[in-house]
Amino acid sequence: MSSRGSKGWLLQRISGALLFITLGVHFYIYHYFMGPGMWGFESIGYGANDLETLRLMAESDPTQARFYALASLFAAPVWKVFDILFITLGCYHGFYGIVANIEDMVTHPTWRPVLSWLTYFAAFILWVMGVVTVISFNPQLF
Amino acid sequence: MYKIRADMISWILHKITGFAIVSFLIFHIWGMSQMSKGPDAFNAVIEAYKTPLFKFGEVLLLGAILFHGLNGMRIILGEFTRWAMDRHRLLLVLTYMIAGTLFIIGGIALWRAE
Amino acid sequence: MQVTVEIYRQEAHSGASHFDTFVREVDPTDQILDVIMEIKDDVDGSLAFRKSCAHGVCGSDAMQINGMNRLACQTLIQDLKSDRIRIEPLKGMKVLRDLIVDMDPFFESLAKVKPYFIPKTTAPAAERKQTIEERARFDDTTKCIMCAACTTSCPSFWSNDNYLGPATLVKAHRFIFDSRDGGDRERLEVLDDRDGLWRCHSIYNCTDACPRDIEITKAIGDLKRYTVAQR
Ligand code: FES
Repeated sequence: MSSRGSKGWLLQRISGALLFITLGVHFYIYHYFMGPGMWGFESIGYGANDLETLRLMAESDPTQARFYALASLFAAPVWKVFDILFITLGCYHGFYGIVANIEDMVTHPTWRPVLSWLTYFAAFILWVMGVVTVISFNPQLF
Repeated sequence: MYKIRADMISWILHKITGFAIVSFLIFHIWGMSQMSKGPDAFNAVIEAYKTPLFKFGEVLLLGAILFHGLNGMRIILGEFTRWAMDRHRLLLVLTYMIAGTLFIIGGIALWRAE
Repeated sequence: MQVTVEIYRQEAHSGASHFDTFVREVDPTDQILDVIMEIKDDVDGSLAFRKSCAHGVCGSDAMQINGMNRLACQTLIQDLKSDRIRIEPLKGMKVLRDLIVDMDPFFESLAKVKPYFIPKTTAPAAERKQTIEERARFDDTTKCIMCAACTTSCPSFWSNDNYLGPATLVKAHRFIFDSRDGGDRERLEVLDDRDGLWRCHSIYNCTDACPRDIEITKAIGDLKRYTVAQR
């Protein structure tokens, strides 16, 4: 039997619950733990050599300390994985929510699928943009 | 005009906050993509975040996320367990109360942050 | 006591609508149905509405009373705690005249989920046995009188009239959770649809509106979990 909504309903709830957790972590790490100048990431997994490079870079240009602190975290493999998971969940949950709204309100037989697919397409574009940013990011370039 | 009940308000707020968060997600992913362009492009974005307008938006975003997240957990609980369905009114009130309290505390902290 | 009754009026052919206001002398224990029947008898014989049993059994007189879907025969003046009474037809349905709405789409929606017993096995010599627990599982949803109060209280139905609606889901629940019934697959095929179960967002307007106090949102929750587990 093919699903016409049941899988979407379930996935929306699973992704929602996971986002509840990952968003908490994301917010805590990036906006609290990682205040400007706080090198708190030392304990959460980035190679010491690179860390040293970044610290030197930050010292040579203190106004950029926030960028380098964030960059070091952004470049750590474990956080790359986390960020990709986070972006994927966010894009899926957010845009499926919009699709659900379209299905709530649009009954026109043509517009309904057209708008839904446009939404999925937009989600895909955004997802690619986010994932490319995360994967390609390399602080040594600067 | 049909009577507007508390559950209906939470449903409407869930939609509105959902749209708001998706709009921010688009903006945020774009902002992060500026990191790849180096410190200067990134700092330009960060500077913009510090203006009062963005700060106000940030506080609203916090409220939206708190409500959407907590209400979402309430919905999940309510649809998966009869236990929660028996207490849906209580859970609804709790959702508003917890989200409201966290919003006031967190909102003030965010607004005051440099 | 004196009450002011505002009633929605719509002409059958032109569709022109307005509210008529009547000031009536009533008892607090009068039914709303009594009040509108007296208006029809004494003041304006052209007022059109449906009623039959006058005892909350037939489900013909569901209407919006002060912004809530109620049976006129089951709602007393004193229940409203107000001396202004506003009566409107069910929302989201085509009005044929005054308080009478076109119920055809509603019954068509009900028919989609096959609201009748589909035997699982060939008929045994005696009756089909069921334990007390098995019977209790769908007891609540057997109480439906198909008045459409729930479906027309649902915001999802207002914005999308292809949505099956709570009443149809209640009917589906009544048969799907009947241990003697074997029509699950065909019914789930209808329920698991973009205009089926998944348009329900647990808003609870239906549970609030049901004159038989069926816990509709809970029944729909049962269906959601069952459907997800089955498909
Ligand atoms: S007249 Fe039969 S239910 Fe009210």
